Amino acid sequence: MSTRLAYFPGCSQHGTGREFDESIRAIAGRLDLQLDEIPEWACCGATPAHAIDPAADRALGRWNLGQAAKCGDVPVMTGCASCFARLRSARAHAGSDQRILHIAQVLGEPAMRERLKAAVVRPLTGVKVACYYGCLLTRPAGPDAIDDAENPRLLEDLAGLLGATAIDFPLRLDCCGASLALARPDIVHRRSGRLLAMAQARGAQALVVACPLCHSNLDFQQVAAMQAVGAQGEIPVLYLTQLVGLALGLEARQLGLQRHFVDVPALVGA
Amino acid sequence: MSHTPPAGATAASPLHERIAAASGENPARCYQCGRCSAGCPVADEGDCQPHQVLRLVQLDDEAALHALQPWLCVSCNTCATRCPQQVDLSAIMDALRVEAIERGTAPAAAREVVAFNQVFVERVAARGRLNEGELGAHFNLRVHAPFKNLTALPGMLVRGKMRPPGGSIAGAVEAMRTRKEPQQP
Repeated sequence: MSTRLAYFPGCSQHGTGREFDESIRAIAGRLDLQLDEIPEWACCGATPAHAIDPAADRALGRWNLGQAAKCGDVPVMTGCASCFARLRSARAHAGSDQRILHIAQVLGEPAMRERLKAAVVRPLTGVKVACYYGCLLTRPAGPDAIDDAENPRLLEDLAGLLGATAIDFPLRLDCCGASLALARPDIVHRRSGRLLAMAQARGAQALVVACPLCHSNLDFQQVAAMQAVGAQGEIPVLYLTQLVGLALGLEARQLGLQRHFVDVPALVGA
Repeated sequence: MSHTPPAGATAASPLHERIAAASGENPARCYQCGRCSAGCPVADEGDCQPHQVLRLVQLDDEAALHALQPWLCVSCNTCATRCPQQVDLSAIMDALRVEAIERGTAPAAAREVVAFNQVFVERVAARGRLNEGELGAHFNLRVHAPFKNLTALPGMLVRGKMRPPGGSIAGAVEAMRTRKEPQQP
């Protein structure tokens, strides 16, 4: 039976995080997820709105919840960690009982895990990945976050379902530098460089992320980030949905892998 | 200090009351254990540590409104998650930023972060959605650095990651303009 979701892509998914949207839509087709894009969704406000203009943050939240309701009584699903956090906040402000889900949660629901396991045609056996949560998937803490704020397992579990091995990655909850990317890239490079160097030193073949801003800071900014911490080499950064797509037998181009700055080598034999 | 945040505060109220009213948090609950600073990803990038910012608020020291640290806060919420007193310091940082802008006290060292936040909100108010290329261009103009980050553009274009802005979301633009809060029951 098809699962219907009100899909909130978010602004990055039309730009720098375009392959996140592409890979979400690609795996949805394979997993019988029906994504109804929310009509006229607006920016969630991200960090800047609540940081300097809380009334703007609330106005955007009310607008987006109102638009989501037009999709009917179905959960709202987004891939962006920041959109996820702002929609959760909007729901709390509105006292609404609208379900807000991140794509990782959708994939982690018991029935979907079974569907996912059955759909794997190219298991990622032997592939070592570092699962990176960053900030806004698990924080603010609460039953509506994707998992426990201090010891989440969801991304590792999902990687395991695909046949991959999640390495022990102590910095998985540390911030990449987030929205300081334009204004203070020096800070972003130091934060992201630490993460990349550790994932690499621990033998990960790829970092797995579920946020377009994390991806941009770790992939697009990778050369500068590595330099900032005196590390060398490179490590590909995949969206969770791209990792899933590879295991489901989708082609690199269907998942937008060619859009990355750090090349993604074939992790498994095609 | 009171043990519950005051419901309202005026511009003449002491700092801790203004911040409590704006953030919904009670700064007095903090006993300065420093756990927020221990987990903060930018604790050592600014002019003081996050728990020290909160201490300034407790002491009604307006220096908190001139500090760089709130502008480096990335709203990662690690502090709020780990606080043994359930103080949401990231919400207090929001309140400090809002008031620093209102009073014009943001420090010169925060100029670019302030500009980024303002340009971001302005672009969303104009279109309802954010176009990253437009954000970058307007940010550069605002900080008088027209060529900043420009070397990134060809790579973005080749990968199809930078596209011209689409149309505006009229309803969202209107919602941003009026900012009508729902009627309280």
